[in-house]
Amino acid sequence: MVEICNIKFKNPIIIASGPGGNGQELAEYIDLNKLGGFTSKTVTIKEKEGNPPPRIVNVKAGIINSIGLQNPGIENFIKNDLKFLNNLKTNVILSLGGENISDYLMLVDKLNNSNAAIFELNLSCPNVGKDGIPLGINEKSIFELVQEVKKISKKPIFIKFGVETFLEDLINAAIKAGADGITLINSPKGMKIDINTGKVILKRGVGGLSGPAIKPIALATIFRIRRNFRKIPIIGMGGVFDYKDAIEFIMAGANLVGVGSGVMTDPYLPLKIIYDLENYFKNKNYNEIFSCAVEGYYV
Amino acid sequence: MNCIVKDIKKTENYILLTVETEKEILIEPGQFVMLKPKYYDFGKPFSVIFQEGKIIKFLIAVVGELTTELKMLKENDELDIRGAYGIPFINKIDKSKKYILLGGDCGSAPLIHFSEKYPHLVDKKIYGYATSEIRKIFNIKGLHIDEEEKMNLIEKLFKDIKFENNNAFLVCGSMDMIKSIKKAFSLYNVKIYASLEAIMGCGIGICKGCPVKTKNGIKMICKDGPIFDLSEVNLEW
Repeated sequence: MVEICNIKFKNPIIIASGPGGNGQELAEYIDLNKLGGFTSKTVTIKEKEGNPPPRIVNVKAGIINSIGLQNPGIENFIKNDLKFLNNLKTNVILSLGGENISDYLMLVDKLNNSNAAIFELNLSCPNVGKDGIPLGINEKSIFELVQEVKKISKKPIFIKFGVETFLEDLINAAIKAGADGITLINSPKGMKIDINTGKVILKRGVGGLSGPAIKPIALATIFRIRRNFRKIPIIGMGGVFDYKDAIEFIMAGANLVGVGSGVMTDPYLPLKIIYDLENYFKNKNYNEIFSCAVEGYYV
Repeated sequence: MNCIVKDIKKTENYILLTVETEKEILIEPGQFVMLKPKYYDFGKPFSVIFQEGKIIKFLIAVVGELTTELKMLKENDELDIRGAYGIPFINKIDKSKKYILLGGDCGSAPLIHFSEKYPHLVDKKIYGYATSEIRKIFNIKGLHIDEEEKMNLIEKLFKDIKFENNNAFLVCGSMDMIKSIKKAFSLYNVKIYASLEAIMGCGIGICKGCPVKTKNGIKMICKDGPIFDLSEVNLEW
């Protein structure tokens, strides 16, 4: 059992936004109610068809995706996906994406009465925005956005960041404006080139790198942020493929652990991780291992 | 699920891989499985050319890092296999028609599987390869070799095959081949079902990594396909 923002999670494993879609396809394979939580795919005001194919390329120890936030738009999401998510017996985190403050305010307003536990503002998608520049790289704009969203939101607000430069400053701005938690890390940018043609493989050239290749980066980022922000809840993710990975994330300072691209390799993986974690925790107290690496750092 | 390599035949650019699964998997022609070596994190989709019980055969073109790794496999090596995924051909095609099967390179594999299981739905078949290299590991009726006949698969089709009124086409191959077929038949009023290839992330429709534009919006090749009525899809994106 994990508790953050007065919300109880039956276990620390959640599905990260993206690879699990909006749950209905994954529910054909696993019981989502056994998860600690489920994060929906980022929804935007207008429908997005996403980026042209190829959208996926395999690399060593990872995968680069250029999905481009394909989603049905908020109205279709409410019509076709929200009822399913509302009926889940686990905590649902709704991932929201926008181009400006009014987009986020509109999304929060439309979803405020859902059963969702948390809103996660995706400010760091590597596959959208001008030239692929993620939103939310500016302290002032983050502060204003979070401040405005907090005025109307009935749910806790988490901000999802990547590995941006001056990340502490951005997080500090988000917390000052009232953010309730941080999600780390969004996929850093990656690229693959076909050496026979000299051309990039993904249409946009770059995409989001995920999988085991980014786990050390994610751990170092979470560890660093936890050291500087002792109390803020953190959802950690990035290359979680088994229960040992999950424990490392908890030890680095994550309260909850997201499984992202791992679920693409095996839809049963999240439940296997939960099962293995439960066995691990049988003789240990969750709170004892939480942040122990961070504490150890200071000894 | 684990599977074990029972046999592997190789040429420079092709592998005929035979594996035995732990348990029998029901694989209908047109469906695919995700295969990966044990030390890989992400697998790729492969069509089946033959299945009997726990024995499955794959015909694989060696084109990238993962298939190069597959080429290194030896008898008794282990692989990870999951599936079967995708909608079987038989669930999508018009069963009142007799099909001309057009396979481009290893895209022939699911068509050969279909031909074995549903011979009563097959009229003619052409499995086209550029060179005779494939004959070293694989030689069946319907094999067409471009360099031997001095023409490609589509030229062969228009030269040698007489279409009947009840004919439709079932084609599988590279996206370039499917586009060529669509263009070649643009003036004919004929039903063409195409099995589309794509790089996939999950294989089950959750990651949105293998899109195709259709008249009914964007669909996923892994979950909504891989077979589509060619008149319903827009391959230019």
